[in-house]
Amino acid sequence: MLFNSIEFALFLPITFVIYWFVVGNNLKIQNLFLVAAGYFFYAWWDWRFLSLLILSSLIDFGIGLTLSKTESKNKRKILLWLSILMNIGILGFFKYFNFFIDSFQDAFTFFGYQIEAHHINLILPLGISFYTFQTLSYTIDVYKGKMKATNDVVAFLAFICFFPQLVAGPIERAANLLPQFYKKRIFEYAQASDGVRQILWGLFKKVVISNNCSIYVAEIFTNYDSYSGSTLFLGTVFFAFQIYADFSGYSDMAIGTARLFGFDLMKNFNFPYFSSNIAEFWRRWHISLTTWFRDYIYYPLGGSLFSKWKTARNVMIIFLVSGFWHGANWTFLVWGFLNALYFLPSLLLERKKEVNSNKWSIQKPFKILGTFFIVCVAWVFFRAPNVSTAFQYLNRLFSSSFFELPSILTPKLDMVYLMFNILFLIGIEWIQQEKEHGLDLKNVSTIKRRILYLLVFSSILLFGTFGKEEFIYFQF
Amino acid sequence: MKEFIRKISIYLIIAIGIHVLLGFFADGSTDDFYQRFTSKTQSSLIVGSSRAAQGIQPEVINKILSDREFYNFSFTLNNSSYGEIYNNAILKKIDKKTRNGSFILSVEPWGFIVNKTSKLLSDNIDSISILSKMHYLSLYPNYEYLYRFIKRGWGNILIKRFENKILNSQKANLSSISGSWALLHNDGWLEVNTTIDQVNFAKKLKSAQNLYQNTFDNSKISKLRILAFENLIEELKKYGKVYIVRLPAHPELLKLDNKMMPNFNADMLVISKNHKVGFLDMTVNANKYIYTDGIHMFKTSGASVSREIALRIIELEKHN
Repeated sequence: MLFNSIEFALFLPITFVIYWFVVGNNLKIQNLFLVAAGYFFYAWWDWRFLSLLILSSLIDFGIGLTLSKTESKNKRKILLWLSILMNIGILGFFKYFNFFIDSFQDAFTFFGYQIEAHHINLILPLGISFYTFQTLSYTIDVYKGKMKATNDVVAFLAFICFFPQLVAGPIERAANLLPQFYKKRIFEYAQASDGVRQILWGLFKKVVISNNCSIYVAEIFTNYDSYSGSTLFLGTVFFAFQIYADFSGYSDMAIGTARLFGFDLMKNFNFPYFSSNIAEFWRRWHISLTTWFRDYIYYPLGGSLFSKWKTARNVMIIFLVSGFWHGANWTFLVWGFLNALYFLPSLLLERKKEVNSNKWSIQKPFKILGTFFIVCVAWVFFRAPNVSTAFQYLNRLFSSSFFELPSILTPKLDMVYLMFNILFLIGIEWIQQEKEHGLDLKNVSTIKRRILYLLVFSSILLFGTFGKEEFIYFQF
Repeated sequence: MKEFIRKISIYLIIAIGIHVLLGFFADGSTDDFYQRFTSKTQSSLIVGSSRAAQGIQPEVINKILSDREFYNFSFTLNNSSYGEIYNNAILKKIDKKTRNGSFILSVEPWGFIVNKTSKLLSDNIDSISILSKMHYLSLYPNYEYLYRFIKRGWGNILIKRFENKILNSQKANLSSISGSWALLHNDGWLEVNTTIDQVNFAKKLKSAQNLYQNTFDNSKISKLRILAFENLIEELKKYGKVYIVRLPAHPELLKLDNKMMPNFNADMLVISKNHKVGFLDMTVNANKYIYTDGIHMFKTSGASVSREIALRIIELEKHN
């Protein structure tokens, strides 16, 4: 079920009414209802894969409970690895099986041996990368003693299948979200109305920015060999906004929806394109995944505690794993590798960490544009169907035709509207940098608030593209 | 909670109200099909693919055949190739009281094909057609259509109207405008305005040739479609006279037409004789006309062909 679909527009109010008015007085039943709603939401995509979700949840619930009763270090280690192997095994099978088969076949062919590979026709279960990481974080935290194992199976299932963030995050930590299922939720007007505003802002990003950018991105990336370098650059800029508006728009809608039900989810994007350097960009982009890798891979590897080279190695590992997490394609690995390369100079030169600062300086706009530019170059690998196409695209982009005027793609006026809306997005987010989201309008006068609602609503109505465009991160 | 629900309800009612209102502004500028789903049921129809949608102008024919009022209910090959789905839609669009109607059935080889791999039953051939998803074909405003097929926010209806007004004011000087735009008239004719300079036309013709060649490589003649066409003729005869018309296309594309169905004219003639209806082959003077892309006639040529069709219908009716 897509957040920007008519099905969800019906599902949400019905769930909301039952949640607060029918089962609102009993916490257990309310949680049970959230489990049912979560499973219904998931089954709407494909009910057959519901069993995987339930299996994954029950494995970690069981292992968590057993861990809490086991004191032997060895047994605890075995239990942890059992959880990791089961979860990563399921994820790996569905997501990476065919990729490894292809890669082995290519490797053998390279050395002159022809082997016949057998592929399995697999469907990637929706949201598997997200809920697998969420359940894993619970087991790891219990193992490390960072939190107590829960014996409330309903709360645990509700934590894993909480529908606002089930299929594309934010990847919540049990320590933050699970305790919210133990406490009676009280409806708060301010929280709910802010949730609705965040949903509206997310919807604007998805249907006005992302869906419209995707039209031009698809055209430019498909026929890149017939466009000038400047048009290809425009294509990468549009893709940068497409993916940002798509994913952060989804996160806004997820966080806003959760707030309607009295839950607070973690912030997933913090206006990343206003970053002055690549390290800052990664502190602001897909925060729930980046911090997951930091806490469960980077720190256990030693983080930055040892030599520079070990730190560089650790950075390289998390970026490569991050790339691989996104998909079974070499393009994502190159994307991860490139980001790690961007990261390394400041790390090796031991430049002081620059904190997110709004302090204005003459260099700041140049730093922001520079960071945006290198991020855009990396996005080419993320979007291209394969590595060689990405290189050809970049080769053409950085040719003399980069200095030509970009082709005006038709329909012309639609492109003008899109540019106008992108500027509107940048303007609002620049002003709201210190806030939780673009429409976080606490302490703003009623008249200004209403003008902004009107502008956002009008943009959705006039320029929004609806339809069946899935969120990009659904494929991961 | 009450305050929250009250406010949300107000905003929702306003949003729904605006959408209801915007539905009334949808017209021929909204998209290439919408208006055909809002017009009333008809007594005389022009049916076929986009060649007919852009090429046959009811206004021109109605002036000559003043005793009837044609309505163009043609779409595109994807949506209105002959088959059960299109047949049902056509029959739904006819005013059931009609007895002396007239029906122009535009034909081309591509309207009788299916994908080579197609093993579907007759009712599934056209599952991608918009007609297979529509229940209401004569409803104003047609919210079913707007909901299902307008992928932009409905406010875009106003923008399209505004854009169309500006573009139509520049119709006289097409060469100053690059690109093209369309307007669906109240009688169902789709007017396409585009520059037709030699360079652009050559590009479009090449692309049309590639498209048809590709379709040829991947398609086969469908007996089901031919059968459906013959059934349609019999059904329409209950409401009036039927004329099969083959519209012209650029000679290069007619070559591909004839490659797909080498005996097309002869086949159509046999069908027309079997069902005792007229067959008009308008391809004889194909090189006389101007085309926007090789497939579709430019509006001035469309008017000429429409006039010629009307005159030949008069001639045919004289002889019967």
